[in-house]
Amino acid sequence: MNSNNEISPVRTNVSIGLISASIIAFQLALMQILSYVQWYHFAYMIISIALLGFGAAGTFLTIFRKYLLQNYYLIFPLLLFITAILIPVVILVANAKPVRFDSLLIFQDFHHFGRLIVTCIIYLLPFFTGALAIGLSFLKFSGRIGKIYFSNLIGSGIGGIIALLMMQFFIPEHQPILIAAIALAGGFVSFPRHAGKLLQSTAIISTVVLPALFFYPPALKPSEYKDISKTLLLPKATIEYEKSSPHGLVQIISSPVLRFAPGVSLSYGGLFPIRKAVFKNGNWLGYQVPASGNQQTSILNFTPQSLPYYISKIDKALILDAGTGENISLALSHNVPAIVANEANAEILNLLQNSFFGHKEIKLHQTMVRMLLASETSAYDLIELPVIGSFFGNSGLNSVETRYELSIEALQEMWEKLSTNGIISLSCWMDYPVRNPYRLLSTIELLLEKEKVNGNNEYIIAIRSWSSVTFLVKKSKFSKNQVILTQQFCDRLMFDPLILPGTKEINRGKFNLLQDTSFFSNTARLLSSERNTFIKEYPYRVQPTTDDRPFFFQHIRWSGIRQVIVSFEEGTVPFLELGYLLVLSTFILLIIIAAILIMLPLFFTRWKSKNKLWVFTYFSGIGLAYMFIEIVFIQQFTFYFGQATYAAAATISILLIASGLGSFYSGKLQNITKALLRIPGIIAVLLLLYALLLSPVLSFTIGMPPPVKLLISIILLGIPGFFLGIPFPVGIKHLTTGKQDDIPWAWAFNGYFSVISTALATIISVEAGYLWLLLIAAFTYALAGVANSRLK
Amino acid sequence: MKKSFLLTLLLSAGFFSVLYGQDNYEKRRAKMVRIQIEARGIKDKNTLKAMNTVPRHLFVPEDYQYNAYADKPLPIGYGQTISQPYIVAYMTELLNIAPGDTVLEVGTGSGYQAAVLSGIVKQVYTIEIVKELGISAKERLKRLRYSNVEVKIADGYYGWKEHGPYDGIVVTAASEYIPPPLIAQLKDGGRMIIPIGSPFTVQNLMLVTKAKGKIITQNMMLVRFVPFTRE
Repeated sequence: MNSNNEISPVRTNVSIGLISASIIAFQLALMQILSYVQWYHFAYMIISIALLGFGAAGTFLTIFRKYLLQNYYLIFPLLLFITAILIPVVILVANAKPVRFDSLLIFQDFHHFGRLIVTCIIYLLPFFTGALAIGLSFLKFSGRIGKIYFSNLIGSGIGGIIALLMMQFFIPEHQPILIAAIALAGGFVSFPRHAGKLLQSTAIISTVVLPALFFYPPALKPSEYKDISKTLLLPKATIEYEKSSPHGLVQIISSPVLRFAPGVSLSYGGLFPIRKAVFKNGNWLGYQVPASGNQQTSILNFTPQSLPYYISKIDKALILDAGTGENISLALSHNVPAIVANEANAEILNLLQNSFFGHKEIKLHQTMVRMLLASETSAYDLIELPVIGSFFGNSGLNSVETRYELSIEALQEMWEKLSTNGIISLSCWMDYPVRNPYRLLSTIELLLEKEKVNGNNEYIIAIRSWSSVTFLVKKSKFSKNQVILTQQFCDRLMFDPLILPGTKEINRGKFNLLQDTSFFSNTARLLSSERNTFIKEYPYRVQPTTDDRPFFFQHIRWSGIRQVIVSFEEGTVPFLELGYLLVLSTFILLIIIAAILIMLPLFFTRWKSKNKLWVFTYFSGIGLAYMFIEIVFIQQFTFYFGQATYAAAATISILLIASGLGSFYSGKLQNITKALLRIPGIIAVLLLLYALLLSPVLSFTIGMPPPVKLLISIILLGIPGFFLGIPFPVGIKHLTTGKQDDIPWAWAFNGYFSVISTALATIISVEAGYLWLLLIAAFTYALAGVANSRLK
Repeated sequence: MKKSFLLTLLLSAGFFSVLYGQDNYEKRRAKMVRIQIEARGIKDKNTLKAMNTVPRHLFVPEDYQYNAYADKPLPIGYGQTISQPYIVAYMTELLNIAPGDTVLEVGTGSGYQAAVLSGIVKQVYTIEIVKELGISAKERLKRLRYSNVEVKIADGYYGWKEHGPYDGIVVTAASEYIPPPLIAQLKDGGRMIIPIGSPFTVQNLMLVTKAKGKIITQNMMLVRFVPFTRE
């Protein structure tokens, strides 16, 4: 029957490409969905779950290999139809009330931890069935593995592009259903001549279920602790605007009780205006600020952020990460003749353009801060960032978020763009334990040190309101008049000077007292020669962040954890750095689940091999290192393009397509042993070169036109991508000659280490930096090369 | 005969288990006050008495009753939490209220803070903006016979002018601003407390005092926490 049912190699390749595309597209859509219903940390978890699906499929293949291979032409399309049904169904089930977990309750209520485990297993299913279909094809056609692997990688690369398009044109609820249709198409492409009843009925069910779900999609409800959920509980709260894009879901909500008064002075006597609130992926982004308002009436002039306008004449302002336009509105209220601003999110930029329509003095750019700083050539009287952190504190949910605009390198670039009397204005919400103000101040101090400014304290002014701190750094010394004006500004608005020449200790807490006055002494230490000692001793990380470790909100340090536990109850400690702990706990969870699903079943099979150590070292090494490299490249190219989502998708797609070409080429290699010896070495040397040269090359070419940059990216990503695609198929091909029992183990080791590599890459980049990640990857490939030299 | 004996046995078992359950909660409450509150420096007798009296387990969802006297905040639905017992006690003590006083609470939540306050002052007015929470708190406080607590479902921004000025105001739902009407409704010499922090980590309290028209804020980094300095 099998011979009758055989399909052409072209149909096989196309259907493998289609299932690969749907798996990658689903992975990206799921990351977006989880960012909306929970928080973005689960993006890492989804990558690991997808890889876990591949690993578990490999183990399943080992156990049921014979049966699966015998019935390949029936099972392959069946798996594609099942994947098509599972893709939307798992979303439906995981978001049902008894199953859905809440990130904030994981450390509070053990049930939610259980639900997290159940969710991981549910989301695993479509990846498992999809991967099983791909893996089965690898095994079935191991003789032409290069072409099969090529279809898999090309399909995956195209899947990334499809995901971006879906995010642009469809709401998150519809995306999984459309992605499932790709898998469905794959099922029909590989549909055999003589299909059994099971295959026929599955095909019919999936064809009926998908359109039905498109019209009645699973409802996605964000966590009750997300800003949007709380806002929607307000009287007459209405979603007025909703737009999905690869940057996330933007929503605008109106309610008669949404008042705009961000940390305003208690001396403000007027009414607080009602404004619409803007959310991205369910997280608070800001209020929609209209262009109207002058110096007298604008409520923003009652905030510490308005200080630069009172002490200095601002003719040209650079408003970074403009968001919903608060700082633009403030600049407008002071009639600043030239305002340049950036916002990376196209939808938010669109809102800004509408809000400030007709204001010719405003020039808006759709890009990220560093890209704008690299391309701008003018000198500015004021460079301002939005208020850092969040008013309520957010339990450290942003701790693994990369913030390149707050690194020391970013501040140095801002410094270069200042006019002779220009000011950088940096504000943050007060937090407790104090972390963000210390980190900002230590970065400012390092900036002045790097710029060789003597008498630092005369270049910094800081004031404090009941809720926030504003730091001003000036290119030249602050004048006496500016000091007097600052004092008057503080007295009028009930703010307290924190760093101001001539201020007596007693006047630092005139209006806004602190019970714990160590804030003042710690600030003084940061301004003195004791800065490094303080940074070293403080139980939280408050040293300046760098482009290599741009995690501004990651404060927890392992050496200080004991003191933190002494100071707070153990139970509340997780909520100081929830984001990082979520990454750590999902990492541990996935290590365990992956061990159970991938490795454990294999221990029940007999594995006779002379090359056990090689199989382990080689396949686990290349599994681990590939993802490390991918994470480093995503980080570097996001910075290069100034567009997080597109840059990530482009990086993944170019890498996958280049790897696909590499694996295609591997099929033509005659001397496998030679390839096994040379390729890992070439990759290791390439990675070392990249560790040295990639960053300078990107910095040098960042200002070039986009098509040139794209070409440079294709070359820079394509070269390592091509070589990275070779080791796996070559390794498998080596095992096909008399060592076939090793293949399942090779697959399992590769899968297991791929699963843990994503979260591990995040942890290493937080703890040691991206450069180390690249060096570890180089070392791992070098180790694989050494292992190959001892191959029996 | 056998049937009636069995019925009596069952009823007795039910009665004693309820009694034991009550007793158990009382013991846990007393332990909570002793270990979590008194030991951390809360001295105000009225506060301690109120904390010892109010059945906290009846203010949390059934799923969390077993944890009602634990040293942590608990979820009550709608993205809200019932504060950690110590925080409730600390805020109550910080208000510096006396038996004849009138207090306004903005953000009723489960009604627990209002119930604690009602044991100390003459009258408590409490406002909740989330309708569902307001209704259930109102019913709960009525059922538990807190007769000097009045609940209103409204926007807390405006306070409750008719019953002001107040000796103390507790704002449990912190926002990016301190509403001017609340400052206006605070008596001269009165105190307003605003806890600031994300769900489950309310660690920072803002004390707003009004003296001779002057408004002073004080960030009350809680006393039990060791300040982060090694000087």
